[in-house]
Amino acid sequence: MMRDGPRDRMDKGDAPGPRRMRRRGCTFCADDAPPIDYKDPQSLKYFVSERGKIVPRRISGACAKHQRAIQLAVKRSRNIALLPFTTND
Amino acid sequence: MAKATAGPVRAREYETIYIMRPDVTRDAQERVATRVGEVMTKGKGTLTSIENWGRRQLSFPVNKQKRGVYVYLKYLGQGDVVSELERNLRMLDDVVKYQTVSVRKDVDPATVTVAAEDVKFEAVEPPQPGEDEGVRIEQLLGFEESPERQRPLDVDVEDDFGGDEPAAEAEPEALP
Repeated sequence: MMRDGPRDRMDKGDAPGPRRMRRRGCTFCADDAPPIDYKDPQSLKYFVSERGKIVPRRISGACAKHQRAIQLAVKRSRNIALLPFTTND
Repeated sequence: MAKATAGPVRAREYETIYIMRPDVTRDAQERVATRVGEVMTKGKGTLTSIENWGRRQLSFPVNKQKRGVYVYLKYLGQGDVVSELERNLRMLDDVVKYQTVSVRKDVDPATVTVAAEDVKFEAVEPPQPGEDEGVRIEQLLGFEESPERQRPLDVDVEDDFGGDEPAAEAEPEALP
């Protein structure tokens, strides 16, 4: 089975190369970024998985400060029924 | 040490969203809005904005209702205005859910100007019989267009690999 994860690199004894995927900076740290708003569920859908879970920082790419803001916004949005807590269909 | 009571009274800015039942009449909507206005004047709060977002799809059923009329309020005041407002919203049967968020601290109410049209409440018409249920939140957010959603989700995972269909065997034989 072809797998190109870190395990395979270790198996071959190769030194880990440079990261292929360059990490993009936090999108909310840009000057012209729109504010994180719990009243706008459309803007928050990128930070919620298909199941309704909050996407982790390593995937959303947000910095710690903005991930906290996203987390709060999603939770507020859920509380007022603008976002689902879960989807089971 | 004496408390510093001199100087202008500082207020906080809050925003409240409340959801009413989807079949709420215009009169009932006006009554709730009037009650909100009364709470504001009694509690020395300043209503700066009231918006009716209309009848919206809820992302999960609340009180067995799938839709609700959202109203958004923005106001200045002390914390007791919030507790009084929430107490009133809790008592009203048409209001099914509410949430208050503190927006800004330490606001001088004298610097805030309120436009008359911002605090004018506009009720929405009650739904007509046979009005469609609207789109679901998953459709709205585009979750159902992703490839994982193509597979019917009520099928057991084992069935995908096993290949045999016990449900088909259990089918009753056709009558002669």
